[in-house]
Amino acid sequence: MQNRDAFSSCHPVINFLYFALVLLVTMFCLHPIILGLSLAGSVVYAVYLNGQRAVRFSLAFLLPMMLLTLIINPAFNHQGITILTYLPTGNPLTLESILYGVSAAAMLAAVISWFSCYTAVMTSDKFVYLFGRVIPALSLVLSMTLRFVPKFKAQLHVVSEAQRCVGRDVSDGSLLRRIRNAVTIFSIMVTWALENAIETADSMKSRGYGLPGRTAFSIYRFDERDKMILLWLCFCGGVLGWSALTGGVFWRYYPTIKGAPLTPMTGCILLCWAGLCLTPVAINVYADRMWAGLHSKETAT
Amino acid sequence: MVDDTKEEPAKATPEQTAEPSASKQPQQPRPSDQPEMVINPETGKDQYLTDPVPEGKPLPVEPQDVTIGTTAYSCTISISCATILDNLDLCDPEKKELVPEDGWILEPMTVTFYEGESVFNVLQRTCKQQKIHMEFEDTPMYNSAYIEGIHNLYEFDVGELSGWMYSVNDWFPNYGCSRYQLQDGDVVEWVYTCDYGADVGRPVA
Repeated sequence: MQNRDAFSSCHPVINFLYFALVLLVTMFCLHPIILGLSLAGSVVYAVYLNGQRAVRFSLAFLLPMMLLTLIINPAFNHQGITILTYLPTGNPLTLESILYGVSAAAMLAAVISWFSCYTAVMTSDKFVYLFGRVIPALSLVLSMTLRFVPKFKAQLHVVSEAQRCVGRDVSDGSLLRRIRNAVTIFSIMVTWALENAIETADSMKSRGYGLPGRTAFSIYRFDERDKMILLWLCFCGGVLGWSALTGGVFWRYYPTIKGAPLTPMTGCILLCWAGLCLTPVAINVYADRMWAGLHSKETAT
Repeated sequence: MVDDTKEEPAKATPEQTAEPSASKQPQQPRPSDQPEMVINPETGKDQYLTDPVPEGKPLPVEPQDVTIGTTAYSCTISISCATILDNLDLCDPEKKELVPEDGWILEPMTVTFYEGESVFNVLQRTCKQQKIHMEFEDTPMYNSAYIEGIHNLYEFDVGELSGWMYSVNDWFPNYGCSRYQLQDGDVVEWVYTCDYGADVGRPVA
């Protein structure tokens, strides 16, 4: 399979480590600047990877979800010393709960957005390559399950198209008729899925699945660029882990908003985090530039 | 809030007519001026799970049965978390800065209330007036508000036996603060306990 972008062409270890680090920090840190940078980085990378689709996803799904989170938190959480007004229930509406809602919304959106990048970059062959040795059964099951969803969708499309040709699609007839057609299609799909499972099992068996001494082919190489990126990831991980231990990115919302003071050191930590969030995009832009440069040289000669 | 209380008398009449059909409990029609606690013989408690009130102490008055009058009375209210000072090691480190040095969140002050109002009404109004943070939750099971936190000091902030309690004239009622109807001159104390009431002088049952 062709790689989606330059970052995807890195070694799977790099891909996985990167997402693990970014997701961990985003999920466990409440610092507003860290979360803001994470959200920005993830959205930029998602747009780079998926283009228009990512923009539509952000506007149609992430934005409403953020708004909902933003409203829900102050409606149910009344902690904080700055009372703005009183809600109809009689409990106070506090500034702290609103700001916490904003951060929680940013965190949620950032994590979902990072995961959308993860699924695009960490294809199941990479996942099986990484974990096939450690947890063979689980990684196989995972990749087969994940593969099943798009396969099921494709087959569903085929079946419903065929049913439409004989006038028995969900788009024909009265409501009752449509429901009956949908049930029929679903029944066909279940039958297909069961049969497919048996065929898969047969196919695996005939190819010698489970026999000892089998090797796996993979084309991944850990090259100089991967070493550089690994060093950079270790550096960032070290800085962030150290700052988490020493309270360099400490932030709390209740009862008062209080965070680590903005010293040159926290500035460095945030800068490091910003760099980490933009790493894939930076690699891609660098690779694109290089490609464009080579291309123009070639056309010039 | 005022509108809510005004609507209540209208609700009280259909409830009385509906009572015979709700024959789960041997309940007599109970106008609010005839104080009597209806105890379910099976559980030994009233319909809101309250044990019989000790003799000589005021009975719970259901807030939905009460019409708030216009006669103004006065009572004394205070809010204290002095027990936290003895249990600072248990206190949530994020909350320590909130604890006043002498423990008083609101020193005893005389406030006005209106005929029929409950301890909860007075606490809520006083906190709004004095700009003290207070969060409560309505618990229909006990037909009362439950005070979760005052001044951002919440239940369980100082160990798992901690939370807010109230006493009126030095007695800790065994029912919720929305059901305690105040009398003129009552002394209401809201205290933070770190030991399920033992450290604020509630006799252990």
